[in-house]
Amino acid sequence: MIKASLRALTAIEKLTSAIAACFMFAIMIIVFADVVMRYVFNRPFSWAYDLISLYIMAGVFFLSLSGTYAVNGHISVDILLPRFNAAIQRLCIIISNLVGLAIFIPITWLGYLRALDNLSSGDVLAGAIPWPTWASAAFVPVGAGILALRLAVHLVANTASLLTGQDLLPLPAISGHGVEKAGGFE
Amino acid sequence: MTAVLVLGLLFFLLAIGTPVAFAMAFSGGLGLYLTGGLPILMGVLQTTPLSAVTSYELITIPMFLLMADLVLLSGVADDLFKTAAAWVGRIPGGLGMATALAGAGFGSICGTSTASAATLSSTSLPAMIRQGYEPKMAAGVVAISGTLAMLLPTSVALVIFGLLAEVNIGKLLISGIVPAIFVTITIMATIYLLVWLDPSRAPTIKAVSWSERFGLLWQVSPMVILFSIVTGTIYLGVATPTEASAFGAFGAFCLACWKRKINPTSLYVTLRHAAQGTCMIVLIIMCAHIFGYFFTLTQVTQNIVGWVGALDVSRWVIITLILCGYIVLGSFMDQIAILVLTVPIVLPLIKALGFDPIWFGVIKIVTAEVGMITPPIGLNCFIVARYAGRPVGEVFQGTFPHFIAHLFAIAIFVAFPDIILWLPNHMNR
Repeated sequence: MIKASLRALTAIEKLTSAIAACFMFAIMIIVFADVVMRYVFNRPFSWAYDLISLYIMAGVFFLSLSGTYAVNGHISVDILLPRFNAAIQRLCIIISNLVGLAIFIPITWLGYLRALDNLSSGDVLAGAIPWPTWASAAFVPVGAGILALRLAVHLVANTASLLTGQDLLPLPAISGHGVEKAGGFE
Repeated sequence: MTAVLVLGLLFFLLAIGTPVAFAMAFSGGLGLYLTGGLPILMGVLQTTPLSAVTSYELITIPMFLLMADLVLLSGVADDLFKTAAAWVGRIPGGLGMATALAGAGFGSICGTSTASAATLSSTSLPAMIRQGYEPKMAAGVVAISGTLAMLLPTSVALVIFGLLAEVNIGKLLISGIVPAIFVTITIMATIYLLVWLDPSRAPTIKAVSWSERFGLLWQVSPMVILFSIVTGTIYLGVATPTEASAFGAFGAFCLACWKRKINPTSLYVTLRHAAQGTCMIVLIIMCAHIFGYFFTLTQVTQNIVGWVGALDVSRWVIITLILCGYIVLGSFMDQIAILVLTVPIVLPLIKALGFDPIWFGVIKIVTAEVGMITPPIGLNCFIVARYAGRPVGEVFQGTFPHFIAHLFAIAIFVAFPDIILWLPNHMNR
C-alpha cells in the first residue's frame, strides 16, 4: 500500500519535473532571444516579461516542489538529528511531516479557491496581452497538493516504521555524506 | 511574549531537523494567527505563495544555477588549472597557488562554491598529491579556493542577499570582484607562508616552456569570453543582472555543446538539478516572507533596532559582534538559511548604524566562505574529502590556516570599506 503510493507519487513527480526542466530551458532561450531582439533588431518581445514572471517561473517552482522534497533537497539543520537513535529520529521526522502538512494543506486549499475565483471572474492581467491569471494561480494548488500528498504518505510510512520497527522509509542521509543531492547551493 | 514563543518554536523545529522553510512558515504562521487572528493568516497564506514567485528578478537565481551546472558539465575547468600551474608552478607552493587562481577563474563563471570545490577536487587535488604535496595542505587549499565562487559575479549567494536586502544586484555583484582578488592573494600568501615554514610540504616541479605556457593560455579563452558576457555587460550597464544571467547560462550551454557534453540525458539531468536548486532556494525565500509578516506585525525588528541603537557602545563593537555571530552560525547552519533568517533583522540595524548595505553584503558573504570550511558541517571540506578519498578531519586541519587568514581579511575589509565600494562606485550607470 505505502510502496504503491510512493511509486505513484514518483511517477507524477517525474512528469512535473520534466515540465519544470523544459521551463528552465525556456527561460534561458526566451530571455536570451529577447535581449538579442532588443539590441540587435530593436524589437523586443512584448510578451517575454509577463510570460516568464507570471507562468514559467511559477511553473518551475511549484512543479519541482514535491520532487525536491523526495530527493531530500529542502535543506535542514541536520547537526543534532544523526546523534539520536533511530526511534527518536523517526519521531522528529514525523513532527516535521506534520508541520509540513499544517502548511501545505491550507496553501493547497486557499490556492485552489483563488484559482477558481480567478477563473470564474475571467480575471486577466492589465496590459497589451490579456494574460489570464487563473492559469498562473493554478500552479499553487497543483504543486502544493502533490507535496501535501507526499508528506501524508511519508507521515503514514514513518509512523508505521516507528510502531513496527521496520524501515518502510529510509532515514535521511547525514549532511556531507550525500552531497550530490540537491542541497548545498552556496 | 508571542515573539518569544514563536522564536522558541522556530529554534526547536530547526534543532529537530525540520526543513528550514517548513519551520519558518509554521512558526511564522502560528505567530500571525496569535497576533492577527485567522483572517490575516489566511490572507497571507493565500497571496504569499504566488507573489513570492512571480518576480522577474528572481530568475537570476535559476539562471546562475543553470550556468554553474552547465559549466561543470562542459569540463572546461581542467584546462584552467593546467594553465595556472604552467604559469606559477615554479614558485614554492606553486601548485597550491595555481589552485587558488583556478578557483578564482572558475568562480567567476560558476556561482556555487560546492560545484567549484567539486571541480577543483577532481583536477588540482590529484595533481598536487602526485607531485608529493602534503595531502593536508593540498586538500585545505582546494576547499578554501572553492569558496571564491560565492564572492565573484554569477554568485548565487550574492543574488539571494541582494533580493533580501533590496539593494542594486548589479552593483552588489560587481562589488565582490576586488575583495575576491584580495582573498585570492590572501590564500596564495598563506600557502607561501606554509611552504616557507616547512619546504618539504611542497616539492618544486619542473619548469614549463614559454611556448607551452602561451599555448595553454589560449585554451582558457572560452572562460574569459563567458566571464566578459556576464560581468562585462553588468559593469557597463548594457544588461541587467537578470539578462546577463540568462546570457551566461546560454553561453555555458553553447560551451557545453562545443565540448560535446550535451546529450538528451545530461541536459535533462542538468536542467532538473538546477530546477530543484531553484525550488529549494525560492521555497525558503517564500516561507521567510510569511515569517517576515509576523515580524512586521509585531514590530520585533524596530524594537531590536531601537534597543541596539540606544546602547552606549561604538558601532564598530556592534558590527564586530554581528560578524562573530555569523562565523559561529556558519559553522553549523546552511548559508542560505542564515541569510534568510538574519538579513531582515540585521540589515535595518546596519543601515541605522550608518553602514553601507552593499559593503555589509560582501563582508557577510566572506563570513559565509569561512562557514563553508569550518567544522562540523563545512560542506566544502566534505566534498573535498569525498572526492579525494581522505578523512574529513584531515581536510578541516588543512583549512585551519586559511580560516585564520580569512579572519584577517575580514578585519581589513571592515577597516577599509573602499576596497569593496570603489569598483561599484565607478560603474557605468
